[in-house]
Amino acid sequence: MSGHWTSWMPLLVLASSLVTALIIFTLPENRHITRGLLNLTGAVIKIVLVVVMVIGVERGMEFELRYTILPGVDFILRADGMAMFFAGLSSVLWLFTTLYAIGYLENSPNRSRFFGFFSLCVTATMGIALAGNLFTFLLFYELLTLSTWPLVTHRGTEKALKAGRTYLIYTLTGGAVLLGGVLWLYGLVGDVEFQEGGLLRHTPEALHGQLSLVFAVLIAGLAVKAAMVPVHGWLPVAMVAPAPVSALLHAVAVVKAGAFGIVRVVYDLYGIEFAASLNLLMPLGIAAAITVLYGSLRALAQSELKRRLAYSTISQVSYIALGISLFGPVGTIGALVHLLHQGFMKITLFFCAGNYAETLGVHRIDELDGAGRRMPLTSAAFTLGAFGMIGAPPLAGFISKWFLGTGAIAAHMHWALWVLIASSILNACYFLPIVHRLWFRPQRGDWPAEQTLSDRFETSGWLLWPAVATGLCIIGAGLFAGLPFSPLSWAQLVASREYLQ
Amino acid sequence: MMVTGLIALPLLAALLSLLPRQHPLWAPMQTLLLVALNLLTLALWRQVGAQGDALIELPLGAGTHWLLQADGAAMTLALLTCWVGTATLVHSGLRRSPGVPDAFWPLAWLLLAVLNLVWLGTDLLTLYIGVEVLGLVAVAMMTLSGKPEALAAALRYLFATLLGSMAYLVGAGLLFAEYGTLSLPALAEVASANAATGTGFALMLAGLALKAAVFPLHGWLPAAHANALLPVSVLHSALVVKASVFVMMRHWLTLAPPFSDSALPLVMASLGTLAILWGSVLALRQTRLKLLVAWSTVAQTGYLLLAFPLLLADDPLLRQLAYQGLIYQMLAHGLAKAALFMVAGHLITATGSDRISQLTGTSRHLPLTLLTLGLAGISLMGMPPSAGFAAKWLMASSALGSGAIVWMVVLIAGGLLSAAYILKLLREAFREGPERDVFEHPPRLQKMSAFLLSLLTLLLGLSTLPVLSLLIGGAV
Repeated sequence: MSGHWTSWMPLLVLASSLVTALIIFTLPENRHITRGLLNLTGAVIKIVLVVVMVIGVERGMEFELRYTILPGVDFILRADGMAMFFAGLSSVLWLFTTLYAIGYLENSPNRSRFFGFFSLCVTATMGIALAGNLFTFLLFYELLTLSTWPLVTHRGTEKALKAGRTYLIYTLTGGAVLLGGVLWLYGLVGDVEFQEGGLLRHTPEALHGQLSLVFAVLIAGLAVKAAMVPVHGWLPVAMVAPAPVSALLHAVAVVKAGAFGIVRVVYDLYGIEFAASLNLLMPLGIAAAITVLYGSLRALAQSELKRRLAYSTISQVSYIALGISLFGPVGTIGALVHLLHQGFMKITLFFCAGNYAETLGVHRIDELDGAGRRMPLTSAAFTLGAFGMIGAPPLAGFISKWFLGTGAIAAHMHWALWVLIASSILNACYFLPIVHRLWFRPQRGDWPAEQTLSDRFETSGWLLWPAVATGLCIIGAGLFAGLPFSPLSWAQLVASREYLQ
Repeated sequence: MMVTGLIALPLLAALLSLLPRQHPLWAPMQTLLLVALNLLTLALWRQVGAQGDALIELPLGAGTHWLLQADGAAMTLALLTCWVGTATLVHSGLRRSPGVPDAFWPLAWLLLAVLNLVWLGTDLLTLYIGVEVLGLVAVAMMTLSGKPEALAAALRYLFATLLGSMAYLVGAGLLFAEYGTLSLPALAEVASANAATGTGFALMLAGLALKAAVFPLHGWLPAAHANALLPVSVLHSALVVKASVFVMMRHWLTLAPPFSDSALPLVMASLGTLAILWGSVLALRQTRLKLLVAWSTVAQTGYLLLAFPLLLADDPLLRQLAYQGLIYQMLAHGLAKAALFMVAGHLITATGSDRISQLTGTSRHLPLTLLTLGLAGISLMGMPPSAGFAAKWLMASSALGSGAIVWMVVLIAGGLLSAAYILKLLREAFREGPERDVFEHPPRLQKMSAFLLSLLTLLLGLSTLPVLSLLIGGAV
């Protein structure tokens, strides 16, 4: 551990939410304003720290903290291009989700507990982003499991407890499989750090057979959180959690941690070229393609809004894995940029779903008729998210799909292109009817449980503005994709480093 | 020589604790003794770390000796004894201790003294005296609650521990007759795989296994733990059970190598596996808090046995990993189990019931207690970052390295099973049931004692090298 300030930066990023969590746990339940201020201060400090590191990394600075945690195993936090990609996403979305959660949970019990675990959850996510080797990744990956469980079961109802149980059975088992894979890998080659291009390609050829098996075990463990078929079952069940938690699960933390783990293993542990030479990418691509199509088909059949969004997540997150399997820089850019874009689009959709539920008491899709007139801004944000998911230009989702599609052609994997087209048609089939109901159908009778949450706006400002802001990000990420520090240009930077070796 | 202070100081404290409880200087005296014990243990631990092992011979009379060995393992366990002992005594209330009879204090100090003797002892006679006295003191402490069930359980325990000591004594006699020495280091040099050694070794292992409640000899343990006074359960499950396993390990390292090709290693690991499965499943099925915690001890002892065959690996590096993992698991489990038993006590106080189903709503009203439960639970499940995870990692690495993938799978699967019963508690605590807002709060000092123990499991997971560096070369 050097005393240089750069080595403390990764730790400070974690501390900005860990300390927040610890203080919040000790706060009395009724100190709402203090708690809110603490949360927001922590979130803003985190963004500032991440921005400093992003600029530093772009200029080639090193931010690294390491010490030996077990014999022969280091604990490493390091900011590289890939890390900042995920850290940037999480820190920005955390701020929005915090704002939203403050409004959403107004007047509900157990807020200290909720926000404490909420901050702990983001700490774990930042740890996952900054982990410099598989061991450190595993550590925070498991911490994420444990810190999200209290959020999923937050309401304490029979249904919530059951969902929490399902969630844990899946994720703990996934974690155990991952641990097995990590142990196996460490037994074979020792402590291998994440590095652009991957270090495992230097291993002797005799180990390649075992390394392929280890790859399968690692991906199987990670696939649980990434909600890939057939281990996706926890995600729709976890829908019973409060809306900000769903946003967190679907966009910021949990499924993203799984997807990011796959990204790390393929690019920075094995190296994309080494993984391709072991023929590991094709099975991953097939599993992803199945998940993409299955998720979309199941989404089509759902009549509840949040459940439809959940299946949509299953489908959309596997775009990332699909992009990884497309060997070539273009596919990589598509995969990486979708990691971010999907986050912004899905969080917008969940915010909106929460707004409909909180303001109008609407949970089912067929109850949404005419909601556009009652809640125009929310519905506009929802429409942006929906069109983004379908891949309409000039929105963020279009950029993702463009790169994924051209990546498929570049990699001579035309079937993947057809998967994307089929999935986009299905996206349209399950999103467009909702948009149609919002704007073009007349309202049918009274709303199920309408509340007036604001005198000036359609709903409480806490709920409204985060949704609008992330909605605008969807346009911004699409329109200004060419500017420096946009998700696309950062993805291009990271991707170029993965293939230069 | 300072090492003998680890035994002398608690003995002195036991004598002083016989003074009347009402004396105004009683609480300051106990505080002073605890501080002294902590300082002494820490200083000796550091000394062994800096200067290496020390072998001490004390005359016992009639030409025999106490042979004590202050090595890394002994000092790590002494540290555990010191921490758990301190927390338990503070938890029992130095100033006022309602529900804890006066006789608890001298017995508890005596127990700490004998425990330290067991960690340090390295000849058959010292160890025999150690485990025998330890069993008797433990039985005496079991009876302190005065409940008829507790007396019945204590009686069963008395039979078990006497039978165990007897088997141990016969085994030790066989070995002495064969080799003419009682010292473990000397036995390690001369022991060979013959019938007398095998029989003696097996008898000793079986006797100790009975005392340690190793599956399938665990029958006496759940009832004993569930009916004893809370601080007694804490000391017993965290330390006393471990003492017998520790002595098993000392003998194993000495006598097992000649038998490494026999079925013995497989038997040990199989018993460990069965203990993990059986103990976890029964823990999961319990409806009473203390019984769940007690069954968890049966399961967790299984992990310790799993390391035994790994201690005989061909590669010295793998042996060392197993050794480090075994000692670290003792440390991790001792701390976590002590914290968990204390938490069980707090929850019983809070809800007025031993039923797990009565925990509804406690997560809102006793956050610190639940946090303690969570931290200790994470270590018991072997989830990172915790001392329990570090131990599991070391053992699993060793298992993997020696090709024993089955044991690695058992270790990981066992973690999932412990997760099931720990989360059963947490789930009930998170349930929002019929409004109940009146909970009796345990004293702050009690909550803090438990919390600090659980915090130690976290810290020892984040920083393992200070302890592990003392355990290098121990199994070679």
